[in-house]
Amino acid sequence: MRDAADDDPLVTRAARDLARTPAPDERAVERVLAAVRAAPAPQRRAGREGGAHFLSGTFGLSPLAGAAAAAALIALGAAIGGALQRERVVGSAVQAGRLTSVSPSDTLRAVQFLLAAPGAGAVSLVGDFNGWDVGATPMRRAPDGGMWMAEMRLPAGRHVYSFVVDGSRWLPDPLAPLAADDGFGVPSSVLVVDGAPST
Amino acid sequence: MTGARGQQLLARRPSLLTPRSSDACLSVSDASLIARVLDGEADAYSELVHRYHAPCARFAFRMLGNRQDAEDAVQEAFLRAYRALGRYHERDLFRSWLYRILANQCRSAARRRHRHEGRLDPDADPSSVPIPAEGLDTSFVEDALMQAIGGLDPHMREAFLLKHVEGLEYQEMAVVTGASVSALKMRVKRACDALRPKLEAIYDA
Repeated sequence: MRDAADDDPLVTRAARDLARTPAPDERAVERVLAAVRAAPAPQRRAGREGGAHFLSGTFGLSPLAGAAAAAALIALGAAIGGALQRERVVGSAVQAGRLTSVSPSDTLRAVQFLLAAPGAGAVSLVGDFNGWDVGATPMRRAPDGGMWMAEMRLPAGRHVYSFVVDGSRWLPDPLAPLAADDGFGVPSSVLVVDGAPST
Repeated sequence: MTGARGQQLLARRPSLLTPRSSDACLSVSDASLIARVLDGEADAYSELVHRYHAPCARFAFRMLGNRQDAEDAVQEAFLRAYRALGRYHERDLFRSWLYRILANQCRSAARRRHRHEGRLDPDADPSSVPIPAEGLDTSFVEDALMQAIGGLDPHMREAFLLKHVEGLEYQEMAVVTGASVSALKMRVKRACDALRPKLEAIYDA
């Protein structure tokens, strides 16, 4: 997409001059390669996604609660699917599990974020809790392919979040209240984490 | 600037970079090289390093204004990308993914330096930039440009470099920076507006 500066000869000239690089620094490249050779070889990430792993005791989530939530969402997604036509996208932030106390003044609650987006290649959770960093919290895809999930431990209070599909498409949570426009035109959702201890 | 040295200095946008080695490698995609690394052929990563080291070094140097800091950031980025290769999704552009890691390294380096040494040199008043003589000396232009972009807010500098020097599209820049496309367009516009008077002085337009 062209903007005004694409046709600005000064910017074009400066960009061309800034794009000039000296001859490749072979010694710097060799240093990188030496560091890489010293590192352990990377492994393909084993498919640890799965209902059982995700709904494990890591954050004290009840497997039944999580499965019920997921099933409800998929059913809801099927109902909404027609209306959304091209893509069934249903999401929610499900609060569940034991309250995890890090310290008396720093109480966190486990929150599951779920998004049914079967057509997506990658989904990220972004929000005020991770600096809206698209790279910070990639969501994991369930083995059946349709559901994406991430868990966060969040302090009580109001949080604003969104989902980013395939690196560039921002989707608010269809099942959560919309946050007020923050001026960047990015749709996002509001989550209020309950500070009361669960029984 | 002519001849072999001119050829050397002529940078190419990342999309035009050809692989370092022979013609047989021209058709080897980034994704297939990564697959080979994950299958145990660790040396395939060196091809990726050769492909992307120059543009990464350029971006880091333009961001940080210091060759040593830039080299450190680039080395760390390649190392982190290597370690995290198992998390790379084939649908992503390796370039975007690598630039995201590099941009984060540059931000960390800038924060470390800011804590220890204070800000980058403030940009000179444009009216104090000397009128260049006929036949621009490359090093004068280079230094003046570095001073000009060094005076930009880091978010604006980053967006300007990614868009106009590295040649990324806005969608890819959103992946690299985590910012929205609309925010990035605003940053690029503001960067150009801030640079224009300085560029006029530099090029005597």
